[in-house]
Amino acid sequence: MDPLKREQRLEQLRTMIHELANGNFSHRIPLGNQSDDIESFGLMLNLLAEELGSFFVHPGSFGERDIEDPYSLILYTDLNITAVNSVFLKLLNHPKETTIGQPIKQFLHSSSFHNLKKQFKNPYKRKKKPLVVKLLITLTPHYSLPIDCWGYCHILQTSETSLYFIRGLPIVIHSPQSVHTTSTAHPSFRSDTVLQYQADIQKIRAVHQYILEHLHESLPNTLALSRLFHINENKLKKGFKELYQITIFKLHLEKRLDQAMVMIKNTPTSLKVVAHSLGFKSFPHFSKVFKDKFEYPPSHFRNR
Amino acid sequence: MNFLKTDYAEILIKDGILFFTYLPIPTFDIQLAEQIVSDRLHIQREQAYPVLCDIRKFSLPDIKARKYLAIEGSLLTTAVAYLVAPALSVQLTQFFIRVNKPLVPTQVFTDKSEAIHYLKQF
Repeated sequence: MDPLKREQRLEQLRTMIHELANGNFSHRIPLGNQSDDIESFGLMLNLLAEELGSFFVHPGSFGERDIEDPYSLILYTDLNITAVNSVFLKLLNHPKETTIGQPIKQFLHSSSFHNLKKQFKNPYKRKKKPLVVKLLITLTPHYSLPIDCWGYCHILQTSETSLYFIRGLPIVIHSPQSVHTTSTAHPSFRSDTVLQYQADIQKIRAVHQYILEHLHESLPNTLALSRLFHINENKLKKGFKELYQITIFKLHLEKRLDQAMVMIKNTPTSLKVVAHSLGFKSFPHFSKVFKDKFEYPPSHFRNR
Repeated sequence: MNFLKTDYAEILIKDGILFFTYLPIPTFDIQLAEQIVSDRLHIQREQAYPVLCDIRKFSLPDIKARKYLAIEGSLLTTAVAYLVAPALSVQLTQFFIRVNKPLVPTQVFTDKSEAIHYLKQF
């Protein structure tokens, strides 16, 4: 085969792999009439994309960024636990051996279990969307108070059975030592979704990348962003929050503050210059939002 | 100070380029990625440099480390040239820079002189 043609075809395979890794399951490799290994890999990758597209009920949630250390668990349709990750075990404070095979009911507050059961009653009515679930974990040996968790539930279908795959984060951990609640990301529990199409999801991902590439300056407003990326403003705002569990401007702020922290800890650059270089208009404003995020003012972290 | 050797890398600043040579690393996780960025920033003081990153000996960072390196790892860099072993490493590095997109211009090379030539323009 012509080496140039062969290289072009290999490049198509690489592009496909990159698209899949970015959560774009609608990409397809154009196939010809060759009967060789490249053609066969192309075909398999197209099939994989197709499978993944239906496997994840909500394709936008694939590879979701900024959800660090999610808990995950898989339930059989009888709501017995078949698999969990270490984060979930830590939340339960329970050994794996006595968790697998147990009914999830054992670890949930009764109202939470009933809600979950109700949601699973007719899951296929919502086949385009993941179920947004809320788990109230209780009855753990060392926590007298429950732990609130949110998560997405994806329905995984095999030829013989269905499985419920749930992943998410704890929202509020009630510590026995403190009556105050520690809140982490608190998403809105919307049961509807604006993200129905791959094209919209890809546009919102492009906005996410745009934010990361513009950490040293102010962002345009959402209307200007929506025009730049050819997406409805409302869909951009709601869809972004749905995909990343954070608003556009909050993400921009958070990432800039993370960068500021790295600069403050590791360089002698003056605090005012750090603030200015990350697009903060005034130092008092920078100092305030920094303290809101890290509990201490920027000077606290200098030369530590 | 324009040279630093740690357990995981050698860092040298020479002729306006920062040469970052990874040593064999058993586990490349987020903690190591933070340490790497911290050490690099300390040696650079406040100066931004083009970086030649020799990754011919290193193991692939995990996903959190890759994300951290793509964003915080771009601080005070003007461009990055990855120097890799031929074949599979090139593909893996291409994957890294196309999926966990770095914030500065980045290219992959198998030839050191070509990598330096690329960095000289920044």
